[in-house]
Amino acid sequence: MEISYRINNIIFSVLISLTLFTWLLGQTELVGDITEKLSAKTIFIILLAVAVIKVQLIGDFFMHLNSVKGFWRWIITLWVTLTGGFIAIAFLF
Amino acid sequence: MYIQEQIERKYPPGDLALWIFICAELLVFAVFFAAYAFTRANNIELFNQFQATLNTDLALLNTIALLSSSYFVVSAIIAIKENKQQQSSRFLLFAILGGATFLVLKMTEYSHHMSEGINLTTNLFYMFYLSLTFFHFMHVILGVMILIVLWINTRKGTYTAEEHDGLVSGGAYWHMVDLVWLILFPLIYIMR
Repeated sequence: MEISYRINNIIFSVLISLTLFTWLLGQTELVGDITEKLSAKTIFIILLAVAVIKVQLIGDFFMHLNSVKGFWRWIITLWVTLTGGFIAIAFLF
Repeated sequence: MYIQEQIERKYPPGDLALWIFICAELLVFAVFFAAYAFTRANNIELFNQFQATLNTDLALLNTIALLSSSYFVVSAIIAIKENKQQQSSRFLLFAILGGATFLVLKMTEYSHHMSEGINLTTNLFYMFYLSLTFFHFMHVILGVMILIVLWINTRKGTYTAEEHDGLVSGGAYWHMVDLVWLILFPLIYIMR
């Protein structure tokens, strides 16, 4: 899919919103209630999932990989799965 | 024409050699991130204690600066596809400003740490924090230099709607620098 100004604006807005969400989650005094109700592991999984989604959006739309077929289509997905997987194992087990 | 389209779909846009370089860079960062995470697993208290000393507000601003910069690079590519060189060079200038903002903010952070006597030998957390962020910092410097070259070329009219592979390749490198930070930011500043 060829990226247009409109799609670029939408992806950028999503990326900024997810970034602010990550930052807010890190401010425990601001989101104290949420962090008290949810376990630390759940918070970690949410943070990691948000980071993975952001990386995938950059790969798909900013790097135009959503218009590629075959091995190269999945190169960023492969990287973020590998990296996220290592981080998840280290934090959760 | 049909064969050419098939080839274009099979490979990412821009120079394939640069994509192989990007893959190598990503692999190195993956190893560093895994090393940080597994070392932290054996020193959780130490990492949590010193992670709390980091400035997450500056890290947020840094993330916004890099994302904005990437946004302007994509806008510059869209503009060049419409043969609007002047508009494209203006977008690239904003992208350079985004990168420069990141560098200034990070240097402010480093100078604060240095004034507190913090260095690579302070403890295991700071060893990882300083080496990982500085390794990324060096990539941002290279990325900004590439953006400056792209900006100069765009002003000279080197890229057109038909031929702009250089711009796309340079942009891909810049996006790589951005996406590495998108993992680095939560991993080092936020995750506990």
